[in-house]
Amino acid sequence: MAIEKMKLLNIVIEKDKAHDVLKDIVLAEKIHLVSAISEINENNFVMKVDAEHIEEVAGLCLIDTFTEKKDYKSIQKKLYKLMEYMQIPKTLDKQLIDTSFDFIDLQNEIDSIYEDLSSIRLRMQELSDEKSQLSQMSIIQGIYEPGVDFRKLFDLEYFNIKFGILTKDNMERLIRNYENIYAAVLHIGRRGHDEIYVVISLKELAVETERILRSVYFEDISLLDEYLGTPEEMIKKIDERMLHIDQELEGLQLRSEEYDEQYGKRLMVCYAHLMLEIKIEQMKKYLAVTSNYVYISGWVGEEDEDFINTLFEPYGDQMVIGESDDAETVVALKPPTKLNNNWLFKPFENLVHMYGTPSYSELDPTPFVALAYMILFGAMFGDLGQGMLLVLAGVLMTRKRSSDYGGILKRIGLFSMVFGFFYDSFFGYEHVISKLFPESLSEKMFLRPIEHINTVLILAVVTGLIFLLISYGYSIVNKIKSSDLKEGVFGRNGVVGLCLYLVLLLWVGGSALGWRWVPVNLLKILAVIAVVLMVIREPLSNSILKKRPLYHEPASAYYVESGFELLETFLGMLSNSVSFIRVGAFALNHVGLFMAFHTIASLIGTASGEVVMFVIGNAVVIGLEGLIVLIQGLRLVYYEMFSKYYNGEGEIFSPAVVDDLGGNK
Amino acid sequence: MSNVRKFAALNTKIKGMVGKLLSHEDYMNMLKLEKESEIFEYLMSHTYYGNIFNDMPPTDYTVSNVERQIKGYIVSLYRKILCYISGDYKKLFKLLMKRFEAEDIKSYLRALHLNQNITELYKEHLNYEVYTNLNYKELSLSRSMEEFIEGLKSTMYYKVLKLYLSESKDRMLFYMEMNIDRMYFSKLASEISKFKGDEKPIFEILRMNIDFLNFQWIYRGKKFYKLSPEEVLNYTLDNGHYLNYETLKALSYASDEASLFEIMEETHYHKLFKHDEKTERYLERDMDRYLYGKFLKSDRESNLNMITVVAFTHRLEFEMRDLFTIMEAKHYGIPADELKDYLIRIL
Repeated sequence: MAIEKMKLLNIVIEKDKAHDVLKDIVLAEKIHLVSAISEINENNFVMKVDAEHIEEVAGLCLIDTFTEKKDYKSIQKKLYKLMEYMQIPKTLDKQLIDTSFDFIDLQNEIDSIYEDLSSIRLRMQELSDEKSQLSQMSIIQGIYEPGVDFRKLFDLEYFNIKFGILTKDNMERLIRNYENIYAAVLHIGRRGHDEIYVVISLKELAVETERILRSVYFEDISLLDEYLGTPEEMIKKIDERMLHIDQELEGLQLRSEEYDEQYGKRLMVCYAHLMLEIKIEQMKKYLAVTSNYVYISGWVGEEDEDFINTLFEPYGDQMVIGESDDAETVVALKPPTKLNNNWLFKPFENLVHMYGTPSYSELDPTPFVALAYMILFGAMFGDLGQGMLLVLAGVLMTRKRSSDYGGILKRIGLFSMVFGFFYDSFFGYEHVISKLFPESLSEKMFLRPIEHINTVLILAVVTGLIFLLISYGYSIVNKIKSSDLKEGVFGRNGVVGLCLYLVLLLWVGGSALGWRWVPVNLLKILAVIAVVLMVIREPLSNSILKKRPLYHEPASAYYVESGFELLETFLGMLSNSVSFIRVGAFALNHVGLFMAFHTIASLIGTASGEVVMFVIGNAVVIGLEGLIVLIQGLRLVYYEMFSKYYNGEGEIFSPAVVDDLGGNK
Repeated sequence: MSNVRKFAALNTKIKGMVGKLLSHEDYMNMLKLEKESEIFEYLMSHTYYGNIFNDMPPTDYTVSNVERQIKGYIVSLYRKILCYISGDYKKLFKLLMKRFEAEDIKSYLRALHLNQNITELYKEHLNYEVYTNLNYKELSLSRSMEEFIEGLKSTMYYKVLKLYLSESKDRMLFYMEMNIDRMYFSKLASEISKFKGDEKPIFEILRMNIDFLNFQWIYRGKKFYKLSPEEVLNYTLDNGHYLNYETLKALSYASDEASLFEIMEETHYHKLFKHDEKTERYLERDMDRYLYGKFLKSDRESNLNMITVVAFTHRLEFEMRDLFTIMEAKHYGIPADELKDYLIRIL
């Protein structure tokens, strides 16, 4: 339930083993690689040095980046094409990766399948092209005149004959100026959306006619010479050829299907391995190399230590591993952050990352965020029935797509149900749940917001105060951890700030509630001391730590700034605390909205009206208010709490894993 | 009310952009300058264009670089405007932007026609991904017209351009350029005719533009390329404003240039076509000036609609063309008085 401890792993291995090591790393999915070159340059590359490793160490002064790069683009293209042909989805199945395979064999396999299949495909394309040309020729059926020999038609001495397609607009253009055109244009039929015409023109005017036809975008249909004859002969020839083509196509189709069956699974394996190889190639940019050795740097969680040791065991003496696991060194190296929370809080890590990843030395705010968000949401949107729907939606969402957001929905829905139970609210109907319990019990058990407006509002503010105090706690711990004396002790979110807040609370609370025992005068003195400490926090902390200069800017500027900050601090304390009143307000609002729908329903007065209003009311409340409450909860967490204690400047721990580049999820 | 929702923000944005256009004084000051380098300096220090040259090293101040930068800047303005438009208007505006694509394709074809190497030509078109889906980088690897046109397979231009590959070399480019324009404008005209809003005045101007294009094609087709009347007529666009089919037919079948102008004198545009020595020389400029005047007028009279946008984009284009004219003229040392006559803006 915290940020996992990390250590930096430094590996040196012979160059020809680099590929295997990288493969192990990416399949392990537990190592976050960093650039070895910069680690070496910053002297963070720690290794055990003894006599037998002298060569590896000596190489360090001649480092370079990894320049031998393999290009998988062409094989990737071929594989994708094959998968497209066979309609195999490009989905990565990591189970298919077999570490004993050599990718070169797979590559050859892809090449040979591609060659065979693409020749089949090419032939199929040729045939279907021919088919479409032939089917265009079947226009002659429209001008069926037995015995006319087309050979002669195209062989006339003074006339040219053309068949082709004209659009309606363009035909109109021709007709409008028909008197000036030296050609007969006759409509002979229609095929689909195309209007087919025959154009008869003088040979002498061939060029002009050609230009005119082109200016109306006339699309030629050419009749192939070898088919010319009388229409009967032509149709017969075309039909015969078509039949032949169909047969051949069918055969080819069968053959290509055979390929699908034979190689479909194999291609999935190839795809998985290709993804692996591409990833390894990408990882090489993190490496440093010398003429014989390769240097790899990466972060691993401390608890994975045993796993890593077994992983690299086979390399034995050939591999030198160095580790930086001294706590102080590790922090100085700014490791990536790996959050480790239990199942209840895990989905909320997303909300934290949305704001910023905690840095390694910060406290993980996830548990607090999770609890606070669940309680706030539940309090604002308390309804047993609707909460149930949210849980259901969460379950569906987990199954369909985003498991994290679905998880959040499930949890806040659950809290909505819990609060809804105590609010005695079921799909907007109050006094339904309480009927299940004996009256004596239900008197004490339930808190209906609309009947106890003040109680609800006060409870909201009190809850807010508790959250704020916890935030102060987080802030103080975080700042002390990063040894920030100035802000941690004397700052407005530090110990002094907390004291001032408590003093003010006691003072205000005491005078409002008439508590006699509150030592007002003492509180006044304490407040003044706290204020003074906050104002002089920089020179004070610097003199305690014996740092010079006392001020990082002119003293006058510092005090003016401090003065304004003080004002802001007071305003902030007030607004932060009052801000939580919205939690109560939304709880009331929730009921209020339903009352409106109940009123409409009773105005309608029929049972069906009631049902309709019930459905609409619930839909509106879940959709509209649910969304608002979702955002308001987030706002309270981010703005009132995070701004106090959280920096979120860390880097997320992202171990090297094989990526699915195909894009078909 | 719905127009307020659709256009209030947009018009405010446009107003801001109009303020950055060149003023009358800017033009007058630039006319007085001697060299093109002084023009750059003037633009740099006195006008909004200074902001777009900022990231250019001073050694790069050549006419072509500056032109490219200005074109890219204009496209970036279009991109900004696009964010404020929605629905059918967005469709219309995107179509207006396709004009850039058509111009780019023409420039590629021109270069290929001159057997130039176009490998680097895509760098000339800054921000082109705003208005086109074509991959210019890939297209500019083409070594021949055929290859280039194959690359346009997914566009509406492909089918038609292919028809002209077999045309003789001296006419091929004319045919291709004309057909690209023709396709673009016929698409624009058919989109416009579907519009029901209160943007009528602006569509009238766009249709006048079609009139002018038709006239220019007939004029050039007859004078320089000796096309047959039937062919010329078929290439004209429908949806003109004042030149109807009968007029176009008469123009196409006119026996010589003089009668072309005579026919035009009978039309709405008679003022532009008084046939004397200067008419032909300044015809294109006069047509542009005519449209420019119309755009300004309709912009003044419009209120919360698309007119402001269309008028602005045209003003922007006219200004760009004037700027290029000024820079070229200074390069060749043409005196200010003569230069004035070539500008669209009346000074």
